[in-house]
Parts: sequence; C-alpha cells; structure tokens
Amino acid sequence: MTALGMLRIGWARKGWIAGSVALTAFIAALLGAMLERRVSYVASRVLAVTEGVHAEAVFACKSAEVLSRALAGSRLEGSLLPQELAESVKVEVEGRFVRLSVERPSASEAEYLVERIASEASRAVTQHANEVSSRDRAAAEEIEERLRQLRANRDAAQRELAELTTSHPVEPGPHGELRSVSRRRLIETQDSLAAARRELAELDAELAAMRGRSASPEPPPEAPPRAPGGESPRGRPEELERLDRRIAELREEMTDLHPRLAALLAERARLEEKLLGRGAPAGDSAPGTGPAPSASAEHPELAAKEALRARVAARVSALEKEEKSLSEQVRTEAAAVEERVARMTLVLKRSTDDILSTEQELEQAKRKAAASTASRAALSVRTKLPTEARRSGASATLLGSLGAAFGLVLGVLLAALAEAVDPVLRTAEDVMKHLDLPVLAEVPAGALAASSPARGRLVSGGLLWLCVFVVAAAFLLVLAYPGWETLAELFRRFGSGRASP
Amino acid sequence: MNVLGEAFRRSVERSRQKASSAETVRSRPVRPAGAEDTMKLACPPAQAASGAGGQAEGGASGDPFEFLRRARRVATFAEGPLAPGCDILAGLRSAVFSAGLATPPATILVTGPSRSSGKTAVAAGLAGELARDLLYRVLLVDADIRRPGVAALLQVDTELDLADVLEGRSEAAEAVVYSEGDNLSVLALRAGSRLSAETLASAASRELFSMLRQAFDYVVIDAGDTASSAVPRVLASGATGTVLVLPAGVTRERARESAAAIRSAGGKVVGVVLTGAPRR
Repeated sequence: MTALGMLRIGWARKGWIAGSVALTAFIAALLGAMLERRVSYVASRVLAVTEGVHAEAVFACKSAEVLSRALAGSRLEGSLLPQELAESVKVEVEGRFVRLSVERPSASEAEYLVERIASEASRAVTQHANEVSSRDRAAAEEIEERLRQLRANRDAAQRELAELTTSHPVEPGPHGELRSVSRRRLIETQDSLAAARRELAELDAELAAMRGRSASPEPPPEAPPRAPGGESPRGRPEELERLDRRIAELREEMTDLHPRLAALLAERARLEEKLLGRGAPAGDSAPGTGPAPSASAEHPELAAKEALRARVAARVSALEKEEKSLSEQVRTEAAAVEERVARMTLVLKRSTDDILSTEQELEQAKRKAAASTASRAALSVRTKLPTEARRSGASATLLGSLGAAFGLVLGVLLAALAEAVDPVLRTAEDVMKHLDLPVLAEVPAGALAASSPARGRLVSGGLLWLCVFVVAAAFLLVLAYPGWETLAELFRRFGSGRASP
Repeated sequence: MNVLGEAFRRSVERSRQKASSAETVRSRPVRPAGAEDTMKLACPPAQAASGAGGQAEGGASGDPFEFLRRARRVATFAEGPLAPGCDILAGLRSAVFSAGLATPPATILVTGPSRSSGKTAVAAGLAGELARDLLYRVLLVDADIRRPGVAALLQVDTELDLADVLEGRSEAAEAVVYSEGDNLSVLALRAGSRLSAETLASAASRELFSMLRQAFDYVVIDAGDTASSAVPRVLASGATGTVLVLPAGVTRERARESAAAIRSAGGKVVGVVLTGAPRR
C-alpha cells in the first residue's frame, strides 16, 4: 500500500493500480505455472517413498541389428546387477529402440540404476559398433587388395598381348614376315629353290645343246619343267605352264601363305607329281642313271654335265621338301600365335569383368563400413523421470490469462479501495476536506523547477515498478523460453556422452 | 529615492490610518510596553548584544526609514521561480490579505511539513509580490537554519547575515540588503552558518523581530520545515500568521502534524499553498 500510495493522481493513478495489480497477478500466475513443475517434482519425490518410482531410459541406434547384437552380447541384466535388482529391470527392444525401465522405491536409486545401465549399454553398443566397423573396414581393405591384384594381372595381359601383336602380327606383311624366324627361313629356302631351278634349267638347256651337237637323233628326255624360264615347251604340259604363270602373277601380290596361292602351289605340286610319275624314267632317274652311262661313255663332258644336273636336281628336290616343311611350320606357328592371342584376349576380358564386379563389391563394403561407423555415433540415451508426467497440464498461457483477468478485476477493486482510503493530499479539495484550511494558492507541478518533490517521487515510484516489471519479465522469459529445456537436454546428453566411453 | 521615500511615507500613513480605523491591531503580537521606543534600529554590536538582554536603548525609533537608509543597497535581486506579478502570486497575495493579514505591520511565517517543498520560493515570491506596488516596506528573512536558500535564490550578498545580527557581530540595519528595484529588503542567512533554534528563541531574537516589525510593514520569514527544525515553532508565536506550504502527495498525517505544531506553539495557520499540484 505504501508503494501504491506513492503513485499519482486521479485516473492515471487508478490505471496504475489496476494495471500493476493485473500485471502482478499475471506474473504470479506464470510463476505458479513455472513453479508447478518444481512443486510436482517435490511431491512426486515424496510420493515415491511410498509408491515407488518408475524410471526409464530409451536408447536409439541407427542400426537395429547392431543394437540387438550389442545388447545380446552385453547381457545387461545378469552381468551388471545383483539378482534382486536385475528382476526390477526390464529391457524391451522395439526396432532400433531399446527401453530400459526400472522400478525402485527411491527416485534417486531408480535414476542411478537407469543411468548406470544406460551407460553400460551405451558402452556395449559403442564397442560392438566399433568391432563391426573395424571388421567392415578390414573386409573393404581385403577387397581393395584383391582389386589391386586383378588390375596388375590385367595390365600384364595387356602388355603380353601388345607384345604378341607386334612381334607376331596376325596379318602377314613384308615386315612382319621378316620378324619371324620360320618365315625368314622359308623365304630364304624359296629363294634358294628358285635359284636352283634356274640353274637346273640352264643345265638342261646346255645339256640339250650338247646332245644336239652330238647328233643324237633322239632328243634327250626332258627334265621336269620346273624352271620358269624354261625354253622347251615340248617337255612342259600347258597346264603346268599356266599354273606357273598364275603363281608368278600372284606372288607379285601376296606371299606363299595366302590360301589361294597355297592352293595353287599345292595343285602345281600335285600336277608335277603326276607328271613326274608318268615320266619317271625320263625325270628323276634319267638324269642320273638312265642315259648317263651311255652318254658319259660317249661324251665325258656331257656326262659331267649330266652329273651336275643330277646334283642340282637333287638339291632342288631337297629344297622343295624343306620348303614344304617350312611352310607347314609357318602355318602351325601362325595358328599357335592366333590361338595365344585369342586366349590372352579372353583373359583380358575376364579380368576386366572381374575388376568391374570387384569395384562394385568394394563400393558396397566401404558403404557398409561407413554405415557401421555412423551407427556408433548416432547412439543416444535419454532418461525420462516419472515426475514430468505428474504435471497438471495447465499451460502457462492459460494460467497467465486467468491471472491477468483476475488481476485486472482485483486491481480495479484495489484502485477503488485506495481511492477511498487514500492518505495522501494531492489536490486543493483534499486539503480543504481533510485539513480544514483554506488553500491560498496552488503552484502547479513544474512551476517550481527546483522544488518538485512530488515529481521526483513519481519518477522514483514509477522507476521502482518498472524495474520490478523488467526483472519479473526477464525471469519469466528465462523460465518460459522452451529452448532452455532443449539446451538443458543437449547439455545433459553432452555430459552423459562424455562420461560414457 | 525621494520619490520612493514619499511613496512609502504616504502609503504607510494611509495604511496605518486604515488599520487603526478597522481595529485590526489585535493581530499584532503583544510586545513589552515601550519596547518600540527603546529598541535601537541601528545599534552598534555591543549595544545590540546588551539589547538582547532586553535593554534596548532608544534611538531612531521614530523614523522607520532609518533602517532602509542604513541598509546595504543593490539594484535588483535575482528572480526566483515565482516572479512577482504572476497570477499565482497575485492570487496568493489576495488570499493572504483575505486571511487576515491585510493590515500591516504583519509577520508572515512560511513553513511546511517537509523539505524541498518550495517554501523558499513561496516566501520570496510572496515578499516580492507584497513589495511590488511600493505600498509596503517588506522584509524577507531567511530563518531556515537547516537549508538556507534565500541568498542563493535571490543572489543576495551574505557578508553579514541573520546569524551575525543575532550573535552580536553586526547591526540589523547593516545586515539587511535593500533592493530599490524590487522595493524589497532581505535579511539572509549564510549556508553553513551555525545558527540554532535556541538562538532564534532567545530574547535578542524576539527583540530583533519586534524591531523589524516596527521598521517594516511586512516581514516574511522562511522558517524551514516543521519536521526537521524547531524554528517554525519558535517563530510561530511571534508571527501574525503562518502559511503552510504543502507539496502535493504529502500524507494527511504529516500535514496535520505540521499545522498542529504551529498551532501548539501559539501560531495561527492562515492557509495552505499547495505546490506541485496537478494542472487543471
């Protein structure tokens, strides 16, 4: 009332009184709403002694599998608690949540148990998540090592294939042929064979000339028409000659390995065989054995020539055999190279496929390792005490509104009462009414600038109330701000997370 | 000065005639017989000290203007928050006259229940307003021994002050400062002077104030507040009337106590000046 008495005059004073009382009631109502938690908390503590307290903690883990494995592995109830305490602990797993509940007569005991179990469980979950994570990381590293080996194999196959294709080209060519020893030998043999045949043809020509000079009525039997530049068309069948021409034409364009040329060569050999078989006495044996003795007997020079021709013919024959075998060898060798190239190509393809699949496998393994690491980090523990559930549920807004309305009514009543019992003289009417003295003069507020105590007191009174309101509002803000609970929860989590390993 | 003196003389004689015809002498305080005749207006300090014992010797008793002639003079005083001539002071003067103080000589005590309520401003304003029309000789005395404020308010020289006069160091006429422009005389009190209520209650004080009443038509005394000082009670009995200065917001109890203090000391509360009142 003293503070109210310091307030000013008339309607302003009434407004001050009503407003301040309303605000005070509002603040009181809000404070009541805030304090209800504490009151209910204390009441629940008192009740807990007789009724028992139910405390619980909820675990959440990103991976339900990790959580269930960890809880199964840790054997929470048995390993941690004595038998009588273990019976009061319930563990329920729902998906990736685990709910621990404890029923104890004392709230602090229940909280202690829940906290202890929660820290143990969180440690177990973290440990398990660590193990899973390290295992996943090891698997990923193994796959990576395998992938590295596969890539090395593929690189080796690629190098070998490149070497094969450069040193033994599948496509024949002038340079490629020279790189192969067999081919080189075949070409040399063919050159030697051609030279030997030319020599044989020359010998035949000389021999024929010599025989003509010796007036022999019968021309000597014709040697097989092997030489391309042979001058005796009689001894060479036309078919053989045509074949030789064709072969010569083709040899200008391709090698002997070409299938067409090889076929022509084979046909020519067959035809020549046939011709040799028909004129065997005149072909093979005639130069050396047939007419030679008689001729040599008659002309020693002729005989010598014939002997020379026989040697050349033998060389030709040997060279032909060698060429045949070499051709066969070259063909075999080419086939082997082709087969090897095909095999390496296949190996290369398979290793590429393997690398692709291994890369995918590695990606999956890495993802799994990352997920197991994240599941460890996402573990959270929350302790819920039953005291929070004992609140009446009336909101601060409702209580504040009711308080403000009640305060307004009360304030108006108080203003009327204060008006009735106001002990302060403010106006000339007050003075005349209560002092029974005439008012000689009224000096308005402000006229005496140096002496206006009333205004000073008004300011101080208003300032006092303003300070009270500001402090109360700040206090209410601190209490009512919902973010504080979140902050407190975060702080608590941080503290429990730091406490648990 | 001659014009001023003539005006004074005429106005004083006129008012005395009027007062005697209206039989208003009852409001004048009872004084020892012959005191007016024996008190020296310009007594030397030693004589003034001896006069404090009631032995005021005769002197310039017949010439009330002797006091003004010997007073220190200034052109004008500084103007307080309430300037003479304003509506408030005009109303106050009328009300004071209506309350029974219309007949000089009169001593008006200005006091109140609390400090800083505007007593000094009201006293200075009332004295200035009374002196404004040159009809009366008006003296403003600062007797607020706790917080003397007249000297500071009106910018009055306090080389000699009330304490000097009462303690015998100076003559009253020498301590008074007279402003021709304002037609106002001031007997100030230095800040920090150790004047006590006992000194003001002494016989010398009574002699001094009775002498001042003779010399001036109106003596307005700023007496400080009744709550912290005994001066209002001491001077109330010698005053013709007391004006209570009440600040708006003062409690009824304090106002009643203040009025009761004046009445119990034999004073008469003629009315209230309400300061800091809400504007209408």
